[in-house]
Amino acid sequence: MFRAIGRLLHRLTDATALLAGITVCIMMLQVTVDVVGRYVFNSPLPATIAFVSHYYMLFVVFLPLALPERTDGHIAVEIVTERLAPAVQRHLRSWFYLVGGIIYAVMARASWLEAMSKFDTSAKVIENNLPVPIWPGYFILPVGCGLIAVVLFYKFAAYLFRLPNGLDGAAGQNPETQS
Amino acid sequence: MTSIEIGFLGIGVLVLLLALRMPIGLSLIGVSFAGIWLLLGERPAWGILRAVPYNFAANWTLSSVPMFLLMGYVSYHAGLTQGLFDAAKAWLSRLPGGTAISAVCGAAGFAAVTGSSVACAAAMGRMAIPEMLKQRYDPGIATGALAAAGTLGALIPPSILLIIYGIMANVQIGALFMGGLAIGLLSLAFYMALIMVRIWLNPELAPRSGQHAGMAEKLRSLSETWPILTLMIGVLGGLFAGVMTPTEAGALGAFLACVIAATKRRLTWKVIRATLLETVVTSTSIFIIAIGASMLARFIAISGLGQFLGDLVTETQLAPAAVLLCVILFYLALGMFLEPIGGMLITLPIVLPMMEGAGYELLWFGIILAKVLEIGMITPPIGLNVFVIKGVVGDQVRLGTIFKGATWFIAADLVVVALAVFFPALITYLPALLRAP
Amino acid sequence: QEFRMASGYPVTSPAYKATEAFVKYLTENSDMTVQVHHSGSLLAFTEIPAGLRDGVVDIGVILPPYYPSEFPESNLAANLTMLMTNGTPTKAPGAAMAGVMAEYIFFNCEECLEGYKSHNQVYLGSLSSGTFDLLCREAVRSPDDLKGRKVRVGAANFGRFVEYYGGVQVAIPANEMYEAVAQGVADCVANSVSDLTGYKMAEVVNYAMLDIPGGVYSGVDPQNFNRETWTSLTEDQRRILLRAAAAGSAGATAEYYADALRNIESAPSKGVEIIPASDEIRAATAAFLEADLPVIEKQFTEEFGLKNVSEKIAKVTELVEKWKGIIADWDGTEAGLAEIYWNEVFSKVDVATYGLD
Ligand code: NA
Ligand code: NA
Repeated sequence: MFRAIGRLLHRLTDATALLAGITVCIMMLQVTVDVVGRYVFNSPLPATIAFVSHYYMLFVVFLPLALPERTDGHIAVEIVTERLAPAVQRHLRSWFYLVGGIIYAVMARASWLEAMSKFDTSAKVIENNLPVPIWPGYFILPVGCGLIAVVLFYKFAAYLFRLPNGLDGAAGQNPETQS
Repeated sequence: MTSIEIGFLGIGVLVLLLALRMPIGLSLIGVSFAGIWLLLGERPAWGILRAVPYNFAANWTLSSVPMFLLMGYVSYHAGLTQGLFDAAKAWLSRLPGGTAISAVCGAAGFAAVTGSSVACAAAMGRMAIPEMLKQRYDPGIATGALAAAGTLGALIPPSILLIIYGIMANVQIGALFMGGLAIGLLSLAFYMALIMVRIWLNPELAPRSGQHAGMAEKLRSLSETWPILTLMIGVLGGLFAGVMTPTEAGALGAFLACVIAATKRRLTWKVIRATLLETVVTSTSIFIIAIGASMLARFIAISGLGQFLGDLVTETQLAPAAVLLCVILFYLALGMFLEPIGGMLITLPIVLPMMEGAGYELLWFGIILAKVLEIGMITPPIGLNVFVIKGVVGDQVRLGTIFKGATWFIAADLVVVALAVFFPALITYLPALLRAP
Repeated sequence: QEFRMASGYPVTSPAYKATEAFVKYLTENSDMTVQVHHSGSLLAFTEIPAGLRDGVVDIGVILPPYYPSEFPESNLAANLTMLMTNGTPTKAPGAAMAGVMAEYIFFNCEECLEGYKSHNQVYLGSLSSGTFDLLCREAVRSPDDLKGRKVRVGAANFGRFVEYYGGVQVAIPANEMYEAVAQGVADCVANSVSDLTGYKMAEVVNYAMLDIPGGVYSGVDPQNFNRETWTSLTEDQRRILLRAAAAGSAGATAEYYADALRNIESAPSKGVEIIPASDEIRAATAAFLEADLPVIEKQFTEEFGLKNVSEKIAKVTELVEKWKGIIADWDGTEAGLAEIYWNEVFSKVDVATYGLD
């Protein structure tokens, strides 16, 4: 049962990262078409900036948040703890799963409240004379933050009750993923 | 507790959490949220958390960060760099340390298509180091040169570090790119000179390869340099011929890299998968730190700590030069432990007002800052580029040897920083050209 | 009493003069003080409404046009500024338009005040930029010269103007327009001539065409209050704040006016040729405005769900004519403008009830 939840989370994080990857491609193509259209045909693609800022960037920034967390891959300072005994390191790290889960849960709630208020006013921006609804983008934050919170709580539970962790399996962890 | 005391307390807790290996982004967000709650109460704390993450990420100018990352990863995974290195070797093999110099030049070329230091070190290191070791180069100079040359990736445009600095300090990114190009080329010249002089003084460091390319081979080698050259010309040319803005250059560069990789039949599913995965993972890891740093900036502003420290600098009547020296030494020390983007984001909220107060130009300071932080990539104990090179060489070279080999280049870097400080025109000349319509 | 205030403007911006004047009046005439966080150092423009709502700050500089669906009612008036530069000529369209905005929102637009209330704010006056001009690499001497030109616009109606005459509107954020023009991504920006120095546009453009497209930017509320803070104050304090708000609105508006005059004077020495609007150009902007008013009416009715839009447009038109008359007597000084705003608008606000219901 517990392992099954882990596998589900594993698949969910894969899916959100895939969605973010597709978004990266769409962002590249749309900006390219916009620039080429403007330069060659004097007709830019309308509302490119609105789409990039209010949709694509949010997908890329918040959806894959949980993916590095599967392998403790979020950037941290290793310098002090690596001198501690491995067991101490493990306890410390695991209790920070709980702290981190709480912080991301708080973020998820805050961004959910903001999303609901933007939903109520059906927030939009106007670019090139086109109204672009932007309220849906606000809901990406609670999804991304919520997922990483759940992943962190799961990892903490696995530590606390010494249960088999079904999340394992690194994806996309690579030394070249920093700076 | 006064506001300033809460500010100091927050910084103290932050340092503690970082030392205990809490991820940087989380630590920043948690401390800022709690700090603002203490200062202003519950509702404003929630208010900041509702407003900042969305508005920070929903930013057109920052969209160039994932795009430049994409461009670099495509070039890397599709192996678009090999040709440049081979051509440099064919032309430079007669110089003392020809292969090492070729590798450094190749890194400078790759730097023009990637925004990150680590990617640059990894790409060139994987290509050049095995070859140098085969030629019986001294392992220290071979690995040290590549670890250092990797830092060009974050100086020569595009540069993620400079884009993020430009947003935080409100400096034009095109101008920063030109300044980065200046200091990148200066560093390249010093690295080349250093290698030549060291090997000229002690030829045992790098036995002559003996295999010198003829003219025909030299010319033939040029034909495989087109992928990188096309990318460089496409991006830089497009920027200055009025086709696109620096923000748009990221997307067009990435697109061009994909097209080139496809024509070379290297755009396989495996390459696409690895490229996209690394792009989104790196983006999300950088942005969560940047969002945290942005929240920390608000906490520091509300606590009055930033103003307090700025006033302190004014009151002590330190000469601007002394302030600058302290800041540079501080960042050199910081660079020993932190990676550049995180280190920069955590500290800018405090350092920027200080530098403005001391009357320094923020464009120029940004370039100095980038250079100094990048030195941290090759200083012990945490030198990410050195770790990457270690990953490339495996058991053949010890970590200590790489750090030792890099020391020479740190010395060269410090000379470059000194030059840039004493002759600011070295950096500001190119950006000024940009202003002429 | 100390207030926290957030502005996205840097201290060098003419708009920041509103905050300076507001704070100066308060400190000199009351025991209220203001701690200003400028340049977005506490809250960026996009974050200020949320921050003001949740009490992160007590006072904030709000730009309703950034939030078309949150403040549609006051945006309607801000979309009608081309009325001010057409018909009867006036020497200071910005000064008159800031008056129109304040009078319209305070006394003629219950829905505007409801809009602010729903975001937990209290409206306290507007400021206005100078007239919008075209800053270009190449000269635009007749409407035909706009054909094929790529123009960066900051408001939807200016975009429609550019397209009406065959140009292309390109969307570029303000912080990128310098580079966009320097590198030829845009040929022109439709901004005030003040931005020759403000955004250093003089370094990258060669011509400034005055009064094209006309209109002003009056969608800046330089000192909106958090509602709880406002309610917690005494009547006397609120009266002094209204007086300070009049000074604030006048401070920036007069500065924009003076700054434009200074820029027109110094432009030749910066290598920028000033081209005053010809009769042909004036006729063209008038023709566009006539065609555009129905578009505005339709957009605000259908897109933003406003009611009685044509009556509202008629009201603003009436106020525009009224204020053209009032501003004709302005002596051009900041103090004189503050006096006009106080006498004509702010002094008439009922401190016993305003913003308290
Ligand atoms: Na680079
Ligand atoms: Na280091």
